Amino acid sequence: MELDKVGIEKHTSKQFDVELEDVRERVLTMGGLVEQQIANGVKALVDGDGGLGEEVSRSDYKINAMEVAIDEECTKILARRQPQAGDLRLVLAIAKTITDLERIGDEAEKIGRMAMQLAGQERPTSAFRQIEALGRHVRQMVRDALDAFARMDTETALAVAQHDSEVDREYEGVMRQCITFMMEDPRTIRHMLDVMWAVKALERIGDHSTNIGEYVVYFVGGRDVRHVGMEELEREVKSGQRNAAKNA
Amino acid sequence: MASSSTDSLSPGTTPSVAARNTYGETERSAQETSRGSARSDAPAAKSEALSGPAQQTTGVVAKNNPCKVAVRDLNFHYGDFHALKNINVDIVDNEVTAFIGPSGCGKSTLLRCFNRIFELYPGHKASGSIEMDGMNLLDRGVDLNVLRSKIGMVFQKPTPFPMSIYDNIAFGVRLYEKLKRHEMDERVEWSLKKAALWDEVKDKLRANGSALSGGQQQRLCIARAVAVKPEVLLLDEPASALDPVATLKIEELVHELREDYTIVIVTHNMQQAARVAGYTAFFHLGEVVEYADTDSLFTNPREKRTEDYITGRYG
Repeated sequence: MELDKVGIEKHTSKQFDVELEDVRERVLTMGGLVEQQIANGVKALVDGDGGLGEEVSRSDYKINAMEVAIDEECTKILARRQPQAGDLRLVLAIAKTITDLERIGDEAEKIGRMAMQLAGQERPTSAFRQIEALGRHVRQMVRDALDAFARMDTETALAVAQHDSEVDREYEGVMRQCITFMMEDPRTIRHMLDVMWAVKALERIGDHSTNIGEYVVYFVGGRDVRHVGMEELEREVKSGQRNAAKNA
Repeated sequence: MASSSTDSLSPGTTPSVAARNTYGETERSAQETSRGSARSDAPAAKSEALSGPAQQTTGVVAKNNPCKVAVRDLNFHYGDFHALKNINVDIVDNEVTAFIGPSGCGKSTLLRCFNRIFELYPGHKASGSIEMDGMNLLDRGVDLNVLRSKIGMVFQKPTPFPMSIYDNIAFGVRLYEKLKRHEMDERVEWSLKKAALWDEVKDKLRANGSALSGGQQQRLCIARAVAVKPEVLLLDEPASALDPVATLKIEELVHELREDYTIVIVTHNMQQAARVAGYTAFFHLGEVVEYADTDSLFTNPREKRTEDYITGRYG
């Protein structure tokens, strides 16, 4: 998607446009990879597929490498272009987004590792069905966050944040179920703890997606909406839309 | 991101300006009026009226530093050409205010109104008012010599007088004050120290001013402006003819002089404005498009024209 289609107009310096577009595209590529890692991690966990889990945990280096490369690109742009206003916010938003994407990658790796350890173990199907649902939800959040980033769409970004509380509730549900299993049969405690680690990782992925959504809101309106609470975030997104309509 | 042009002319510092701006034909909405009053005395209404945290910070700054020079409904004509259109700007005391904008936007013209240097040329006409300490600087009755001793100016190209370094500085002082020999010596030393030039020239005060390097000459001019103890310093592109090191020295100097003077700097170098100024006004086609504290202007400008200019999308 080209810059001017998401409300970022062309610069007098075409090379600058090329650089910004390039770095933005690389973030989206990185995001795609991260999404794939989550999908594979959850699948490995739910299906008890140790091989796939291993592959996930082995592939994390790709995401790390992309984070380093994009970070370097951002540093170069800051040094050479001294971006201002919206451009500055875009570069900062990108630099922060990739940090969260990398952390999501780490969580996916963790899930992969847990899948390896849990493979071949006896498993209560009902809990894993819930995990599968949670994984689907979380993946959707990541996808929406990336989508919001790609289109610089604050409404989708807000939806991600709103989704997070649902994910938190589901997470607590799975937790309760795990505890029940452990109380019923203490022999399950060992691998139930592994399951809980994996589920916790999923919940964290939701939080990181919310962060990415917040960076999108920051880029678009210039307002830092971290730690402001849901009501304030909603207000900011709405007032941003009003301003945009006024300018149009 | 942008609001109407009406409320963009004050850096959020003085309620009176926000309320008094009648900029173009724009009608002020009820919300904008409340914005004006919120700045003065209604902290409760503040969060509602101000759109960002950056602007709230501005309010705090304004409390400490009142307005030094108030430009009201200023219009300027070069013959038939309407160069400045209804300018309303407050220059904050003991702060650096930068004027930025493309060539021909009127920023230097406004600067030249402050000490009425434009009157040297026929056909140049200013109307409206520029108030400082309760007096309208554009008033016929204002003594130009007194005015220019209060408002010093430094130009783009260094303009040392063809005389010694010492006399370059003493020349202006002699116009306004009768000083004894040793007093004058002290004044020269003081001004050269203020301009961070003393150490470099103290052993050659009798040498010709034009023998200095470009950066030194420019600092000499600043020392000369400072020597008569003005209240306001006008700097018209003071560093544009200098190399990067000399530029940084001038910027450092501006930063230090800010403690004692109100400084207005015109610059084409936006990074320079971002580095040295507390407040920045963006000019375009003879109008002030946006006037805000420098941090907000360079990270989150309210006007699209400002954003386009500072991000390199102009024209």
